[in-house]
Amino acid sequence: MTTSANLLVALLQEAWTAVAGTLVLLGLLTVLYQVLRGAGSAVIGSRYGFASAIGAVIGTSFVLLFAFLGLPALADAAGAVIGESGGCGPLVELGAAAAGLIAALAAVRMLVGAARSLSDAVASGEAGARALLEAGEAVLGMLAAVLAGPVAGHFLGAC
Amino acid sequence: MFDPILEKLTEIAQDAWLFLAGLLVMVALLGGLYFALQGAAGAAFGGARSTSVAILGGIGIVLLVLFAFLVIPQLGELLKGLQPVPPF
Repeated sequence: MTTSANLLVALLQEAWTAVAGTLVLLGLLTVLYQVLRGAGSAVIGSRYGFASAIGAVIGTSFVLLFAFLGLPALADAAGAVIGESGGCGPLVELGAAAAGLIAALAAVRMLVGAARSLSDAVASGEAGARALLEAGEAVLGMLAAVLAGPVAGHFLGAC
Repeated sequence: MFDPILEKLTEIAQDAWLFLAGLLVMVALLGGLYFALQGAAGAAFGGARSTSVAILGGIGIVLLVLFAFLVIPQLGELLKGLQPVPPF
């Protein structure tokens, strides 16, 4: 059980690295695209287009900084909380393996949410909302999943 | 495991970067030409506002291009340095 969990965590670590690299590529291309859009809007005299492009650049920068600075801290904090909750009775080992996997999955999911938010920035200029929402959903889902084991254990009288 | 995928994505992103940079240069050149024409027409007919708008527009285009070709690569270097290791 521990070996298979370690394998899955290693796979998720590689996925994290790949998604982080993709975020850099996407972010830079998004900023360049918005600058191009701003230049085109400035030439044809579209103030709304120019303002929208500037807003998208700022939003993209915010999403990138949030993804690279905020998400690791969030994932660390959530992982620490999960480590303290743990399982009980005969479920301790299973609970520990599951908790680690859930934390890893939630961290990768938050990073993928940030990447999807960048694609929103290209499409509509609204870059920040989805990243924050997905991060919140991932953390809440993770905590709910981790608490399910101990709650079920107490309910069934195993703890 | 994901390294070949990332390499392919990097190649595609490099092509996309070159394409967008080329488009930006074209738009900037055409925009600069348009603002020069607007400024010349304003100067010829005594339209001070038209001339000043054209000058500001030209300066704005230059600033945008400088931002794109100087600041964005530095932003890329900054992001590569900030790239986080897996927190699990």
